[in-house]
Amino acid sequence: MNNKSPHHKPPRWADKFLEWYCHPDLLEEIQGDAHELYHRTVFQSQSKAKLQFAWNVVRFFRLKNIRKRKSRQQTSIPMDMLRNYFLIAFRNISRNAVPSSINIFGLSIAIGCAVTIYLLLDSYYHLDRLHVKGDRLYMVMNEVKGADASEKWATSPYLLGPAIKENTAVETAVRIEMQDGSSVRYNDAVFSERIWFVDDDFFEAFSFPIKKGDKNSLRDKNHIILTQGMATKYFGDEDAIGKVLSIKFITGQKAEFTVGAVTETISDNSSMFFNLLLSTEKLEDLKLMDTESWKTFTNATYVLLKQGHHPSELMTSLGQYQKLQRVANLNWPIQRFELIPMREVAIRSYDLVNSLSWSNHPAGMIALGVIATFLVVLACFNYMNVAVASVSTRLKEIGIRKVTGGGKKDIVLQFMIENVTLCGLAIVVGTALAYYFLVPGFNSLYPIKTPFTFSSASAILFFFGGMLIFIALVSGAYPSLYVASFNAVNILKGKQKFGSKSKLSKILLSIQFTLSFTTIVACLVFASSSDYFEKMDWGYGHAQNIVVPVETKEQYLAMKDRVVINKDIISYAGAVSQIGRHNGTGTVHYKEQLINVARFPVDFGYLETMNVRLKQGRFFDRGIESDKGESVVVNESFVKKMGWTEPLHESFDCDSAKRFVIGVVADFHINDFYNKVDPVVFNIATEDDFRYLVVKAEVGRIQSTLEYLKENWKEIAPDDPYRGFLQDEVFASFFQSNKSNNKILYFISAVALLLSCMGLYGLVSYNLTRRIKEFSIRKVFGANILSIFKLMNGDYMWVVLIAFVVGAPLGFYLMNKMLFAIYPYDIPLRIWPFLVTIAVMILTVALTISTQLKRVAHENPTETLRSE
Amino acid sequence: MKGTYLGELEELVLLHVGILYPEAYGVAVMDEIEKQAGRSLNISAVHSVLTRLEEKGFLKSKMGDPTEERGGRRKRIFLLTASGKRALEEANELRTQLYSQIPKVALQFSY
Repeated sequence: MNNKSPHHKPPRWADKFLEWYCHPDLLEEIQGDAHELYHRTVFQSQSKAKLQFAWNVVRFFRLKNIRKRKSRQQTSIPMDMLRNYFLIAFRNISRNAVPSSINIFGLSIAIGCAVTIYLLLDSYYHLDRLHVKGDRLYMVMNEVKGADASEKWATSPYLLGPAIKENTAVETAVRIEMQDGSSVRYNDAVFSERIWFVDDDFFEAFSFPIKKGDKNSLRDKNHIILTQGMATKYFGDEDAIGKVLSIKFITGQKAEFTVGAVTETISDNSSMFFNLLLSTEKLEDLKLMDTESWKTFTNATYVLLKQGHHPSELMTSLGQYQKLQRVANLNWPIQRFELIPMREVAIRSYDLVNSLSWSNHPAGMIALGVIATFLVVLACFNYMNVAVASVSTRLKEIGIRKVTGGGKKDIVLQFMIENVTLCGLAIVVGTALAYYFLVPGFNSLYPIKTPFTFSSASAILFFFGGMLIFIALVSGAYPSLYVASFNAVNILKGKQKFGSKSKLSKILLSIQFTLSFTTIVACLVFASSSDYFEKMDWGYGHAQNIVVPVETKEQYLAMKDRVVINKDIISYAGAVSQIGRHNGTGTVHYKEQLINVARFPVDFGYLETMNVRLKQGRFFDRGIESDKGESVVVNESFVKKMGWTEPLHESFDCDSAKRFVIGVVADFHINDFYNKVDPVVFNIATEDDFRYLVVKAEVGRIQSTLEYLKENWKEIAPDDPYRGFLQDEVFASFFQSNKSNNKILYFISAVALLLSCMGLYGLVSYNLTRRIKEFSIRKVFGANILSIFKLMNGDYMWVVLIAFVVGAPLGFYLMNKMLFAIYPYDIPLRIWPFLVTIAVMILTVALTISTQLKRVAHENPTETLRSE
Repeated sequence: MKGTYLGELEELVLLHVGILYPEAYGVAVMDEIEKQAGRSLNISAVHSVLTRLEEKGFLKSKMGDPTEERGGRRKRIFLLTASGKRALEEANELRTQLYSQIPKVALQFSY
C-alpha cells in the first residue's frame, strides 16, 4: 500500500476483519472496491469515510462472501501433511530444547496443580455417593432458636425418627446417637471408643459395605458391628465374628456384645466415619439418656423416602412434631425443619452445628479453584510469550511454506498442531507429576485422603479434553494467527519487522506478574495469620498443665492421693468440664433474658492451677462457705454481654438458683480460633461429678510427671485406658491443619513465582538473541555491562514494579476478605508479607535476568558480528 | 446454471454492465446506477447481484488493472455473455410486447 497519502487509511480493524472473513478469491475485488470508495470520500470528510468503510465491510459480511464457492474449493489437507506437521512439531521441540522445556515444564507444573486441585474439589463435591439409595436419603436439619439467634442444628429430636416413620411417604428413618468415652475391652486390650447407636435399618438406608457377617445383626440388641480397622485393633488376624466385647458406658453400666458383622474400612468418599455400631434399643434399655421425651436431641436423623416421593410431603407432619418439641424443650425450641439431601450434607456441614459429616469452609474451596485457574492462566501466558518470541527463529520456514503454496489456514493449522502436541505432552507430564508427587504430598498433609480417581468417566473426558482445548486455544491462538499473517515476500526479503515493540508481550507479562504477586501476597497474608494464631495468647497459662480424664469419683480420689505426694506437682484441681477439651454448655437467666454460656463447674484451686488471669474481685476460696454454692466467676465476655459496669455487685439465675459474681477473669480461648470467645461461668462443683484431674507441674518436670501419672493410672484403674494429655495439645488439630495449609500455600506461591520467572526468562532471553548484534556493536564502542543491562531490562523492571503495585494490594484485599469470612475477629495487618514479597521479587527477578546478563558479558563481539 | 428468470434489480445491473463496457466493475456500476436511474445502492448489494448474474451465466468476468486508489488491488471487470445479451433482449421484447397490448384507451388520461 504505497499510498500518496498514507495518513488516510481506512480503519485497520475493519480492514483486518474483512481480510479475516472474506473468501480469498473474492477478497481482492471487494477490498479494492471498499478502498476505492473510501479514498473517494476521504477528501470530503475523514470520519465519514471511515464510518462508510466500516459500514461497507459489515454489509459485505454475507454468506456468499464467506463461504467457499464450490467450483474453486480445494480438497482437505491430506494425511501426509498432517503427519508432517506432527513431525515438524517434534523436531521443533527437540531443537529448541530450552524454550520448549520451559514451556512444557511450566505448563506441566500448572496442570499438575490444577489436576490435584480438581481431584480434591471433585472428590469433595461428590462425597457420599456410595449410598445406593442416596437420592432418596435426607437428613433432618432443625433451625433452633438459641439465646441470641437461630442456629442450624444437624441434631434432631430423638423421638422424631420413629414418629416420622408413620408417614406414608417414608420408607424408613434411621437415628444416629454418638457417644464418646465408652471403655471397650477384649481380654487385656482396653480402649476408649466412640460408639454410634443406630436404628435397625441403618444398613437399609446407608450402603456401607459389609465384609463379613450379617448386616441385620443389630436387630438383636446384644450384637455389635465393627469396622475392619476396629476388628484388627481388638482381635488382630483372628476372625472377629462371634467374639465378645465388654463395654463400660459413661454412666458406668457394663454390658457384653457379640460381634455380628464387620464392615469394610470406610472409604474416603464417605463424609461420615464410625467405628462401632450398637442398636438404639440397647441405648434405651440401658437408659444412657432420656429417650422418652421430645426434649432430647440425638446426633442425626436420616429419612429414607419411598420411590417417587418428595420431601415436601413430610412438611405437615413435621409441623406437628415441631409443636410437641416446642412444648417439651423450652430452652431450644425448633422453629423450622428442613430435609437436606444426603449428597449435600457434607457440603453444607460447615454451616451446621454438630454435624457428623466432616466439612470444609466453602471459602477455602473457592480459593483453591481460583488458584488453580490462576496457575493455568499464568502458564498459558508464558507459553504465548515464549511462542511469540520464538517465532523469530522460524520466520524463514513460514516464508518458504507460504511460497510453496501453504495458505494462511495451513500455517495456523500447523502451529495449532504444534500447540496441541506440546500441551498434550504437558498434560501427560503434569498428570504424572500430580500422580507421583502432588497428590501423595497433599494426602500426607491432611487426614482425609484424596484418591487418584475421578468420580466418573465423563469427568475425565470433560476435564482433560476441556483442559487440552482451553490451553491449546488460549496459549496458541495469538502466536499462530500472528505468525500466519506475515507476508511471505517480506519475510524472505528479510524486511519483516518482528517483535520490535511487542506491547502484547509486556501486557501479558504484567498480568502474569500481577497474578503471581496477588497469589504470593495472599498466601503470605494467610501464613501470617496462622503465625498470629501460633503466637496468640490463649488467655491462660497452659504450658505446665497436664489433664487426666477420670471415670468415677473413686478414680478421682485415688489419683488425687497419688498426685499429692509427688513433689513435682505444684497444684492440682478437679473439674467437671475442661477448657478446650470439653466445654460444658448451659444457659443463665438475667432480667428475662436467656443467655448461652460455657459452663465450667470446677474445684477450688482450678482457676489458679490453670493460670486463668484475674481481672477483678477474687477467685474461689475454700474458707468462704457461700463459695460452695452461690458464688460464680465469669469472664470479660460475659460482663460485656450483660452490659455490666460494676460486675462484682451483680447477680443472675443459673440452675434455678441465684448466683453472685465474685470475680471476673480475662477472656481466654475455650474453642479453636474459628470461634469468638464465649461468655463463661465458673462455679464450684462437688467431687462426685469430677471427670478431669488437672495438675500443674514444675517447669522441666512435665515429661516425668506425665510418666508418673500414667504409671499410677494403671495401678488405680486397670480396666480403663489412660487418656491423659497436655493442655498444650487441646488445639493440636487446629494448628496441624494450619501448618498443612501453610505448606500448600507456600508451595503454590513458589509455583506462581516460578512460572512468572520462567516467562520473564524466556522473554529476556529472546530479546537478547534478537538484539545480540546491537549489544555487540555497543560493546565494541565501549558500552559497559551496566548500560547494556539497563537497555535490556529497563522495560521489564517497570512491568514487574507495576505488577507489584497492582497485585500486592489485590492479594491482600482478597485474602483479608477470606480471613474475615472464616475467622470471627480482625487479624491485624502485618507488614512482613509485603516485605517478603518485595525481597523475593527483587531476588528472583535479579537472578533470572543476571543469568542472561552473563551471556552478554561473556560474549565476544567478533563472534556475533562476524557472520552476516 | 440457475433459471433464466431476471429480477428487476438484476436487469438494471445487467443493463449498466452493458452501458459501461469495457469498464464495468462494482463501484462503476454502483455510480452509474445512481447517475442514470437515481437509485443509490450499497456496494455490497451491487456485488451480490453481479456474482449472482455471473452464476446464472449472464456475465463473465476477468481481472483488470490495479489502480492506486484501490491500494494496488485489481478490479474485476464484468462483460456481457451471449446468454446475458439474450436475456436482456427477451426482457426488453417481453416488456415492449406487453406494453403494446395495453389498449390505447387505458393510456389516455384526459382528466
